[in-house]
Amino acid sequence: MILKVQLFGPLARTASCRVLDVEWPVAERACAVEVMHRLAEGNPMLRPLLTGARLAVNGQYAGPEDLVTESDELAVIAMVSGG
Amino acid sequence: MSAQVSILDGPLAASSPGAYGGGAVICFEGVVRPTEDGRPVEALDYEVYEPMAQHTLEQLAGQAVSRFGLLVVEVEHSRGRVPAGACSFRLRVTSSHRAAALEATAWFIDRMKQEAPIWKHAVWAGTTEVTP
Repeated sequence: MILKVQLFGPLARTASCRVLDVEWPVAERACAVEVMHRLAEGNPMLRPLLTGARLAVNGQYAGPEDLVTESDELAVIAMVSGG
Repeated sequence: MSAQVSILDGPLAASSPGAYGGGAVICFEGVVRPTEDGRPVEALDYEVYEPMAQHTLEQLAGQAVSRFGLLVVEVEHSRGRVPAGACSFRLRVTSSHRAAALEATAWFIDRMKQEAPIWKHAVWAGTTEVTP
């Protein structure tokens, strides 16, 4: 399956895109912490920005072991700076 | 820099809506600074992940009400471009006593800056360059 992960802010600018695809074997369970690991492995230029980043699933911060599927809305939330 | 103090007769003009029966109202406004590290700023572009940002701010406002026993918390935040000198964030906290309102104001802003999926990018004066 293909997990589509949305990017914002400095992450999107560094990656020069708004969405990254993460390929995942259908037979393998995908949990939030593993998705973040795969993102870092596949995108070395993003690694410094992924430190301390969190995965949001369907608009809520996910716990490390929360499972995700292809139909979930995924987003990496890093280095926020509102206000 | 300047300091300004006015002693006026009678009630001061309301700076905002009523106090909802409270005894303390703190209104914090975040304003876009005209310079950043000495470099002139034309504006800030605010990028907001919606609706998550809305939900996160609502949750934080609700938590602030419970945690500090507040009467009302009102939050406004900009999206898109905000010119230097303009307000991009307004937090209005109403409580029975000042200590809770002051503490809640600092708490809310700290939490918002950690959790709300909002990013700002500087638009530098005299250039098309935008910095994350």
